[in-house]
Amino acid sequence: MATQLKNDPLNYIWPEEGHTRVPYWVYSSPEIYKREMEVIFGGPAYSFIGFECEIPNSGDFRQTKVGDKPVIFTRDETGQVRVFANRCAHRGVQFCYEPHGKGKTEFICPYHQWTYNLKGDVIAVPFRRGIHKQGGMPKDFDMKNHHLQQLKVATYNGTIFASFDHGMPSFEEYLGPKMLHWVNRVFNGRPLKVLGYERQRLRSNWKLMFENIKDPYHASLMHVFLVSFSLFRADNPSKVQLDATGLHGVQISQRGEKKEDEATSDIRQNMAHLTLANPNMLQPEKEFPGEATVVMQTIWPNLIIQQQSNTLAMRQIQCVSPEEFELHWTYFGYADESEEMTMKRLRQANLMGPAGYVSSDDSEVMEATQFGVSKYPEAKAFVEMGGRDFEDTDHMVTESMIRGFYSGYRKIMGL
Amino acid sequence: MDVDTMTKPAHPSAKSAVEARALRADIYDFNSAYAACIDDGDIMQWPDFFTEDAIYKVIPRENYDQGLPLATIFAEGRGGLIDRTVAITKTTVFRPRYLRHFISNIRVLGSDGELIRAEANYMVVETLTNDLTRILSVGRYMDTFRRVDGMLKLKERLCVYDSEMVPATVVYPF
Repeated sequence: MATQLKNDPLNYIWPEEGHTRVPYWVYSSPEIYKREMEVIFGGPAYSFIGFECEIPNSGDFRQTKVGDKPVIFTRDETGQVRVFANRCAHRGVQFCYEPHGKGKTEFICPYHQWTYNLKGDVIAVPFRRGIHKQGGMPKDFDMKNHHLQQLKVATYNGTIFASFDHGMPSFEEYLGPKMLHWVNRVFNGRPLKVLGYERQRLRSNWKLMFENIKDPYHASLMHVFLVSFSLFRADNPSKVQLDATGLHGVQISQRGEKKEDEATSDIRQNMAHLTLANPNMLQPEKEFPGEATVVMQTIWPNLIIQQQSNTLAMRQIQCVSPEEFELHWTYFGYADESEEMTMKRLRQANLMGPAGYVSSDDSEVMEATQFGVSKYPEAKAFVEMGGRDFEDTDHMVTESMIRGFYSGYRKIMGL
Repeated sequence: MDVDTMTKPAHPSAKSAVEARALRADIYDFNSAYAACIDDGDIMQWPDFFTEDAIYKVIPRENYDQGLPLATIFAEGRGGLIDRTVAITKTTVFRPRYLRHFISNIRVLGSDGELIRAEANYMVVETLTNDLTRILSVGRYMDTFRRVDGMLKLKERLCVYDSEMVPATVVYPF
């Protein structure tokens, strides 16, 4: 009798230890990826789309993706934000080619010129009645059945989220008051301005990006730059918080003193003696209420809100395949801020992005994780730092948020 | 634009074609030395290619074209360049790799005696250990040179890159 194949799609059984283990097949299996695209990104979740200030006027638009599904977001004549699949209702053609643009009054598919208004309704189908009484659509053809696929849109203080599930509750209800509190810290209604974009493609499963930001354990060890300049240290006052589902989370920390002690003695390459030759790069200015100087929030299923000192960015996860994802960074500030503050943000942006003094460590380690797990689907991760439960903590020496994440993930995926 | 205009060297102050060619050759040699420093030499010497007050930026083309100020790398002055080299050699945790710069299509846009404006195309190819070689970045250098003790130095280098989807990580400069 043939033994059952390891990792047979019918045999995806989570390790009995539960959310303190992560089986490596979640990072490489095509079946798991397919289900994720369907039940997570295609299901009841609000994915981050962009900012309202990116499409200030009617007919302004941008392309983006929900999971791996191409969509565009635009603003109709009434000022309402619309998100629809970038897929003609006729034969599935990508009807919008430009990555972004302004002032359109309609979208015309280049293939057969089916034309849609800014609400996504089809308004013209060439040769619908045929030519010289020849051809044309059948008599029962009804334009109403051929609009673009719409997503449910939620706007919140300048941000845009959308879902393929039209039964979604409000964004506020989706996040809950505890997580909304941290969103409000950066998005309190103050008008935003985009400072620029960065994009990178990583040979890594998309969930590793979430885990990275839900893992303060690594931050005080791997990020020598952060630790050397005391932007983040294991002994800085800090906490982690999760919502009830475990899927959303936030790590909150304060900049500390530059010193050497037990919090840094375990770090193999402690560089506390380093100084910046150009200290301009890192002269943070307090701009938010409270003592926190770093707030990194993960919003299920595709967003990280980054506030490290004065560098603010949305990191949007776009999926490519089981072993590849893209990270799309939108750096922003406030429309009414001083030039000096904008300059601080641009200088501190050296910390982040594909060449970031901090983030490039993460890009490298996510690809290295994929390298490690990809061909060992039968093995599993050990996630017990700080205990076996997932709860809020007032320290950073924990993997609580990763446990919470996989607890919520298993429920949604039925694993 | 007719063919004559397109092929005529654009260097209004150069007195003759000979001078123009000499300047272009100087920039070619400069860029070759610059590439050799990053690809095969000591990255700590990379700041020596710049003036004390230099600006060095690596910018996605979409930001440049839309007038958005965000850069992938933004180094101000010799200090900013040194900080980048210190981060590469002391703090950044990355997998070993080779880089290879190809710099071509040098165009001198103008010179006023002190400052020389020039552009070039660049391609940076990256090879990670046990992996296929790939294009890391393709774009345009937008340069301002100044002569310091007779030697060309960069007062400004903007690396505006077309390859906006960066494969993983940018460790070394373009």
